[in-house]
Amino acid sequence: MTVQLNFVTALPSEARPLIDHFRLGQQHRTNGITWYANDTIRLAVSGVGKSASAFAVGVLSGMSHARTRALWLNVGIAGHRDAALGSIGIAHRIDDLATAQVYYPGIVFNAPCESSRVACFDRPTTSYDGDALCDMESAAFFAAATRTSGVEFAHVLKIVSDNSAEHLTMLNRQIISDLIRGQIEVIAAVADELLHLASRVAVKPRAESSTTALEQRWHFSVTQALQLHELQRRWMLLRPDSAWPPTDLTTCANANEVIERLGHVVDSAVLRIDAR
Amino acid sequence: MIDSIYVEEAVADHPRTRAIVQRYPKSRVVECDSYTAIFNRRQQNFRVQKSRPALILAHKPGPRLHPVPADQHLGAAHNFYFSHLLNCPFDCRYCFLQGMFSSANYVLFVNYEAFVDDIRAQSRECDGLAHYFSGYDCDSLALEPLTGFAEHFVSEFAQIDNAVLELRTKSIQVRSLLAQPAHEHCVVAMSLAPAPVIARFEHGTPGLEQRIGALRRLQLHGWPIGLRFDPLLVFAGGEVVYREFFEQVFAALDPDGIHSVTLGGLRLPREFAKRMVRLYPDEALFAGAFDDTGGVRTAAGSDSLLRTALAALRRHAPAAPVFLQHAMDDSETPAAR
Repeated sequence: MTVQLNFVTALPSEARPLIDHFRLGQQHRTNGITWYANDTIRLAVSGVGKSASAFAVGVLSGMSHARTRALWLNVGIAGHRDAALGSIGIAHRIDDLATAQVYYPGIVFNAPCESSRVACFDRPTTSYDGDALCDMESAAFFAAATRTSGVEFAHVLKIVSDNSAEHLTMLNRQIISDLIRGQIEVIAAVADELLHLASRVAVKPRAESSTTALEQRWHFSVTQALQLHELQRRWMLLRPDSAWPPTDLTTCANANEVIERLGHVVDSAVLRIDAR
Repeated sequence: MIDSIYVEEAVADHPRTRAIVQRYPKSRVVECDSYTAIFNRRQQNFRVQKSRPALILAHKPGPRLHPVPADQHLGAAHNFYFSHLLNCPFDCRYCFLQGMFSSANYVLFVNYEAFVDDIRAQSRECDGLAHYFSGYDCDSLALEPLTGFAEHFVSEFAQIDNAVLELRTKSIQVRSLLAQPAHEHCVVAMSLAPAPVIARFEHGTPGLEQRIGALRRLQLHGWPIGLRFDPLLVFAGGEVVYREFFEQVFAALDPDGIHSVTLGGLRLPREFAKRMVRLYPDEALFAGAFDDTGGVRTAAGSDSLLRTALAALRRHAPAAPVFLQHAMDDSETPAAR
């Protein structure tokens, strides 16, 4: 299983520091989404709002191989009643204020910044919601991202761009990029934590070709091929020192016999608990 | 260390909630409407969560007591289980909780008083002895410093004439039990396994000698103890390992002071087993042959091992009541009590 880290930002000015830091190259627009990539990271600029963010997640998901562990980070600016401009928070709860849906990202790593509730608005606002970071994408981003990934693998990072003392109208592209750039190390640290997390639960890649010789010699139906793969998995675990595929299958007349014979060998194998 | 504590709004002001939150001043505290929004949601990764489980503090609505299947009884007329806690800090590879729950986070129901009220009311309705099992969905003692569960419940059970509490555990957190007078209304039932099994499959648990040591202290203090040999695992050389293991266990304990012994092979509901294989596809324990009967998968070879275990128990602790928790497939099953 390969790992793919996906960033989604609403604005090009939010994306620019990430593009520079991770050395992402611009790709051909896909379904109206501008996106950037290197070998392991993709970044989509979604546009502002929930629908746009969810759509960008969909576009990036559609470009991924089925056996990909997708990691998701929504990075952007947010308002807060009284937090310092430039401070960063990771969402531990996301409230979609329009639908009253609540989401809980699972932070199962050492977060390099404080966590916060994020309130997701449908329109720009300066009436901040209690002590929440206020944005316009997080809820839909998270809902969409966790369709393809677990709640531990999708996170929202928000940098405070305005508060009750410093209003939205003061913002411009340069200021927004500077705000993101000011927290780039924290963002990169979260990305590293996610990659580390994914590596810890990565399943060892199955030796895809190791049933090929058998499948070339006998005709396996789709169901039989799945049975064969399962037998191979169990063989590797129970008989790690025995060669696969076994050579004594040559007398088998068809795939059914192969599966039967392999099944007998695997079922009679006894667990060894000193094997590790 | 608990990094995240989710608190149901309904218990935000509960004294037990406040005490637990105070105990972890560095944890992030997140308010939620219902524990189910976190615990039962889709798209969770049990394996990832297991490495850093969050704590969810919640209110348990009724019903809080549930009947125990007949094959799990220990001789009492009435048998119930209850779950003040869901999940466990230990990481036993065979544990069915991995297949049952989609989350590895802990849910602690802080309304202990309501559980005790139910237990008192239920016991009043019972004609004869009632057993209450507390460790079906958790380890009864492993989080004792956090939960204060035994400290609270054991003294409550002392006052209910016909009730016995079973604390099922692999933990050696027995300080609160040693700090109070022993009585017959609580059995500390320790799950035991040979050292190589513990090393390979029971991650994060106390070693065999530590568990035996805790049992010995409890026995000397006067607490009834139970021995739980469940699951017995089939592996190469296992019969010899188990024989030596039983010798080790019974050399350290007074065989006449044992409340009950239970035995069972590795068995899992089919759907749980499938989920566990998906969770740990590289785990050899699930790769062997299983007999699939009535929706339950039982490790092949378990019956032979159970017979060996029963013979060893008859030799080492002839007076101990033994309960098989797993139907064997022939009529020559030695009688268990």
